[in-house]
Amino acid sequence: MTDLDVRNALHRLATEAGPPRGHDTADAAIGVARRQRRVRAAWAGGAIAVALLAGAVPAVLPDAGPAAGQAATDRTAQAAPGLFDVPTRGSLAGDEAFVAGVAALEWSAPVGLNGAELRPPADSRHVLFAGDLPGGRRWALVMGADGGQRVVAWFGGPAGAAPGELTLLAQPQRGSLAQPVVLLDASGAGTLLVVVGLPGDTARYSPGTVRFDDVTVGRVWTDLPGTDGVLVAEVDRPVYVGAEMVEVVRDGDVVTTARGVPRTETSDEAEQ
Amino acid sequence: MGADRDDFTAFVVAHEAALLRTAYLLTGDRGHAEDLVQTALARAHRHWRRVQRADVPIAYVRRLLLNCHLSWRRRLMHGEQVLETLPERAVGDWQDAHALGDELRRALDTLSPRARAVLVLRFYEDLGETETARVLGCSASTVRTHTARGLAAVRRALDPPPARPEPAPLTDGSPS
Repeated sequence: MTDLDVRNALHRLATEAGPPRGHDTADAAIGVARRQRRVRAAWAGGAIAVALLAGAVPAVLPDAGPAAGQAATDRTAQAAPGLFDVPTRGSLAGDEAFVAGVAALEWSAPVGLNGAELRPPADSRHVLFAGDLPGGRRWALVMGADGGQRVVAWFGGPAGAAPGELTLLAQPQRGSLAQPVVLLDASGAGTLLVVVGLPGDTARYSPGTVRFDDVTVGRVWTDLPGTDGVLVAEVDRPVYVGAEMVEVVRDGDVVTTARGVPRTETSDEAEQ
Repeated sequence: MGADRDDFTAFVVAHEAALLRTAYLLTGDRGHAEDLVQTALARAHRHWRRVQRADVPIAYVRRLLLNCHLSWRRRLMHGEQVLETLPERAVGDWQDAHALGDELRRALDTLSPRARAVLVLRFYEDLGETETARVLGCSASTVRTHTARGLAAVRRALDPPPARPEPAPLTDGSPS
């Protein structure tokens, strides 16, 4: 089968797409865009109102609480902890020079709105994880912020590598304070899965669906071991790329269900 | 504002079919393809002036479509469906064209979203390696890797299995 055959096959398959609806589609898209604008405006208005109230209430009611600046600090302290609030974890977390070196690495990714390049400045970066892992791997996970958008980047190298010797393991991704970060590496002899969540998070992994002896179809799950919300295991290779799933549970609720786990770029090359 | 709306509507009328076809190849599902196109068009409308200023507006919107599709956040929010039943082979109409389409769709389903996008951009949209890498925000070598894997999967699915050798005629073992 030649490249031309593949091209022709794709063009034939594309003809199965639904018919265009023209003006109806345009009207619907405009409606969605307007709703999104209204929601954004409402959020912005709400944020302004909250900020004004936070400033006004202590002034009107002197005994109601501390001044505005102190109130903000207290609210931060009481807010649910996010990934940024947790100290660096991993076997190298105590190596201050290494952690500082990783935080100093410059990186960026075109993952912003409309493909905008996000480049978290140094003072926005926090090393969530730094440690040596099975298979002679040394990995680090950094979260930064650019324009209010959180971005995460995995770095890796061989055991003993200095921060400057680490390279990006995968394209940096958008992240959030609450969402665990997951990466799978199938480039070595063993497939390694790392989940970095909040302390107390648990996770399980399935390489894909299987047909059981009783002819039913389902998944076999493996609980990932770990402490402090960092869960690491050598796992079975996915049945095929994209079949694997990871579920992360926090306080009894599933907070992340990821099918098609982000992978290292060397995984892709290894499976070529 | 009215002129913008007219321009936007004219753009949608002109390009929706092409976007739907690309989205269908990316998602493998008509409904998801329509959702994806609508999401991308809504973003395009929010930034319509920017779309109009682009050298090739349809290329800009196609990039929006790809970004929507590949967005990790979107995949988390929508939680790709858990496959609890193995897909059955299509039955009934086994005309060649349909069978090939079914096999191709199945092959595309085995690829990661990014690998699938590479195949669609390279062999459906006819983009070069460099342009594909730029659209997807990855390196050209990653594009090459995904291309090789995608082609291998498609060829495995579509190439007819090698013909079995004709069995040797049975003899009674006596010399001829």
